Amino acid sequence: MSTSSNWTARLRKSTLETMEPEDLLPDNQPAYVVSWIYVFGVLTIASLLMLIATGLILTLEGPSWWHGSSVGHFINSMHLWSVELFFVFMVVHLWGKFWMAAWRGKRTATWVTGVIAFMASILTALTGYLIQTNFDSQWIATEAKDGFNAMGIGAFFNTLNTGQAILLHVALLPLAVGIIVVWHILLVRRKGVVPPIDNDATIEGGAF
Amino acid sequence: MQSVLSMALINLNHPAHYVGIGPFQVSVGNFIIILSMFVIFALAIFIPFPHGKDE
Repeated sequence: MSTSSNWTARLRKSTLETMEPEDLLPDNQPAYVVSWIYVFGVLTIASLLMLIATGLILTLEGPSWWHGSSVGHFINSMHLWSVELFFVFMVVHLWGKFWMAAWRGKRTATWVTGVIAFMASILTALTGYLIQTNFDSQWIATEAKDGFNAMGIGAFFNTLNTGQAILLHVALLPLAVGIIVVWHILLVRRKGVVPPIDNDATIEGGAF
Repeated sequence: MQSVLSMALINLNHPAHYVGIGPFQVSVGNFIIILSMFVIFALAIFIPFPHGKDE
């Protein structure tokens, strides 16, 4: 029986052709990746993993736990500081990639997925602030309500609807951010780390 | 709750402080974070990265 007409075989073949294991899990990097500015992407990923881990605990335990117990306060604070660091690292990563024009060498999709991940992260952060269930979240919800109404989308995304904000924050948006970030990382691995601007010889050198 | 707040290194139990010029206004906390990002970016550019084995 031929496997060429089998869709799983075709998918396996095309996946291995576009994503070679040596590219996905490299054990060395080009010589120009000896700068701290190349560290901030993986720092952002580390913060995201910490966010997901602490977020899962907060989701399982609930508001009365994170408001009323010492361990709850601690995990809640871990979630807050993880998102502070997540955005600090992501913005420094963004600045670094912007000034080295990281979309060079057919890396447009890598840049665009990064931009989408940034915007999805902002929306995820907003919905997170909306579901703190404290006076801060009430204030942010009423202020943001005016903003979204002014944009004409208040009927679809109602910041005063805590249930909607919870579902967006713990289900839909983390899934979206997660998928886009994985896509972003796969593109980085496939195309390789972008070389410095004065090193055009390696611009399309592929992954290392 | 009060005991937790009293244990905080910085007393956060007051309205936020704001700074601004003209129509631009930002809380001191956010301003410090933005300045920190500039500092971290500059340090990342100028501090040499420790070399491992050269290949």
